[in-house]
Amino acid sequence: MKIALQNVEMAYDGKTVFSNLTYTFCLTGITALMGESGCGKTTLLRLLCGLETPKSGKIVGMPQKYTFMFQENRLLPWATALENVSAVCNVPTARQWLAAVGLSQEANSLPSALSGGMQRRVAFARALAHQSDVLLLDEPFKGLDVELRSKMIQLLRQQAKLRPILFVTHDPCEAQECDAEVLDFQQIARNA
Amino acid sequence: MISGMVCKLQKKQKLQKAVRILISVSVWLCLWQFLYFLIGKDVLFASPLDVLKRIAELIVTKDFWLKTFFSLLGIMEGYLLGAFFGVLLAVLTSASKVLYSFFKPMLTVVKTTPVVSFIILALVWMQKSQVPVFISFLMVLPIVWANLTTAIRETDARLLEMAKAYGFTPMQILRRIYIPSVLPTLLTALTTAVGFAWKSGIAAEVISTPRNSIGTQLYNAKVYLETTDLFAWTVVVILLSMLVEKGIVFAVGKIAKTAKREGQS
Repeated sequence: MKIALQNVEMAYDGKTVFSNLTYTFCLTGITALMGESGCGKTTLLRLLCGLETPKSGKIVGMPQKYTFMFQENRLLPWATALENVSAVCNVPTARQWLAAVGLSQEANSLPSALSGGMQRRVAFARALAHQSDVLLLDEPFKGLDVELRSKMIQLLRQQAKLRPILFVTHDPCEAQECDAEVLDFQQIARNA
Repeated sequence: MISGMVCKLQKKQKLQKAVRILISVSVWLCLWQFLYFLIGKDVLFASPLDVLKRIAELIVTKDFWLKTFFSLLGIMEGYLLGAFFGVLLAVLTSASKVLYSFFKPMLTVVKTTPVVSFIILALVWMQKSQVPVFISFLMVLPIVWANLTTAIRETDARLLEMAKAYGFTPMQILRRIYIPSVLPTLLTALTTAVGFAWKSGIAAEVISTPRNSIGTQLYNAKVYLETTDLFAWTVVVILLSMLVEKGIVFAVGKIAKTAKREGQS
């Protein structure tokens, strides 16, 4: 899958995040997007999803059906873990994904009754349960311990066989464990 | 075993709550009785016992139920119309800034104008029996509108963005995000509005004196200095208002549960 950025400029409140950005992402398997905080990784994912509009330039090749896992969990606070996941798929599939992330027992719990790590896994399950052509994940393993992170990475690697994945991380070990192609976004933006 | 313990605990808590309410009501009744002794004139202040006796006399008469029914009907008609149009206007004005700018001054005027002005105007415009309906409607509409508009505007933008990213349909966004998000505020507005509907509706009845109404009974009690009747009918209004409030909380809860269930399917 090729997604091309053509002379993209992005600014928030007059402050330029990146400008004249021309780059083609060739997404196969898992791609890890790295770079210092504030260099525009999250902004890039938001642009790809159409949640932000570039000041100028255009993005070509982004599929219509995508999945975006936000940096925050963004779970519906009044809905149980199962309801949160089944919001994007049918109930049996949602149950399967909750089981896959080790939260079968918590299916009927509200997010407020779950720990931060559990909430993150519900958000992760929701992202994986959502049918799409590409997975964009913003720091998907944030707040997970090493053991859980390894389990989630296994799930991600299985998913990579079905659709390309682009994820933001600050941890080179995560990228390595995912067997991901690493892109230094800071470098890409600077070259632009 | 644990569920048995939880059940026992819940029963105990309910009993404690009931005892607290009972003590509170008893203290207020004692204070009422004390005030009655202090004032010492039946024409100025009725005793709780006399009021209770009078209510007992009234509720066995067909006339009482007739008047109560028509008052309830009129005020609830106005209340429901006000709630319906309040919700409708809130949805429309949240969706369009032009509509918001258009309706805002009108609703501010309605909110700030003395209710008596509207009652007198309504007496000129319509039949006596329709005045309480119109007045209750006018009082409820801005309360529901203002609260619901704020709640819709304060719906978590991050959840709405999540819904967009996951391709929720407009109906899913309504059922999964907007309804659960605004429901607590809507419920508060609807329960607050019950009190206003009753107060304003009865005031409209007192001034317009339609044939079968509690307000007319209050007016008559005032004219003939039947203070016990005045107190008795007031207690009836309070009880009715409380009953309606409970009914509304129950109904809105049921509607919300149904909406949530359907939202999952």
